[in-house]
Amino acid sequence: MIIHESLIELDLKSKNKTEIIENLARKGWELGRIRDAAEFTKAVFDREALFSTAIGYGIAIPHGKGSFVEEPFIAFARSQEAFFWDSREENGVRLIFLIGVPEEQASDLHLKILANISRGLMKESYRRRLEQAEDARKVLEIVEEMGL
Amino acid sequence: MKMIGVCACPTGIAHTYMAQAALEKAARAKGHEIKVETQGAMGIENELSAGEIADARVVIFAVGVNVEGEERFDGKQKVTVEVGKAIENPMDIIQKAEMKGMGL
Repeated sequence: MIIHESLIELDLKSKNKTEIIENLARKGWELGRIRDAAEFTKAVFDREALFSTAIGYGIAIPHGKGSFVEEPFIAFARSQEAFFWDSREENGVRLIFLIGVPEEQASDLHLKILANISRGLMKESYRRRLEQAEDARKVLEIVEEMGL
Repeated sequence: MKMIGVCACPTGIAHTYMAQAALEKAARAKGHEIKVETQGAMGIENELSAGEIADARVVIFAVGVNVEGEERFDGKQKVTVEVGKAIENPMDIIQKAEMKGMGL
């Protein structure tokens, strides 16, 4: 599955974008989804520099694509308080989805799941459930449901 | 009003599909018919036919990259926005599209 319990952080303390991305990337690396965490985070930061992935609705979706990703994944972090993702962003962020996909071998199935999850994030009911989920298991369930 | 749209972003993994969902929701909330083509990592999906393009009053481009087959929309009323704006403020975009579609 694209998401995994060990890729979920429900009580995010950091309010620093770089630190958050690095921590989530480390989870991806520990689970073997990323081959090279340094290269992956560099790709994510380069993408962020292009334009902010804080897209409103209290959500940021940093992402990186390249051969340094072994298997597509989503890592999720939730902050109790909203914080500013970066200087360009005007609304607070609480939900962060770090997405990694391999360069070419990403199967359409995985991409389809990611597309469905992305569409799902536009639904308030899913966002509210993610904000209120009591544990990682519950988040896993919700994200899996969104991906269908 | 019949509206069509094209969404595309550099990596084509997430933003494209968020913008699609946001525009569809906002347009339908205002009683419009809408179909949105996505040009993402899976290629072109929900592709607009020549007939659908001909019937539409206005086309919305929510893009961060060039639109593939942009010539298909030659002569149409167009609203072009950055893909992030379509996600964040879809209703503003739909209102702009309404004005354009009415020829204002």
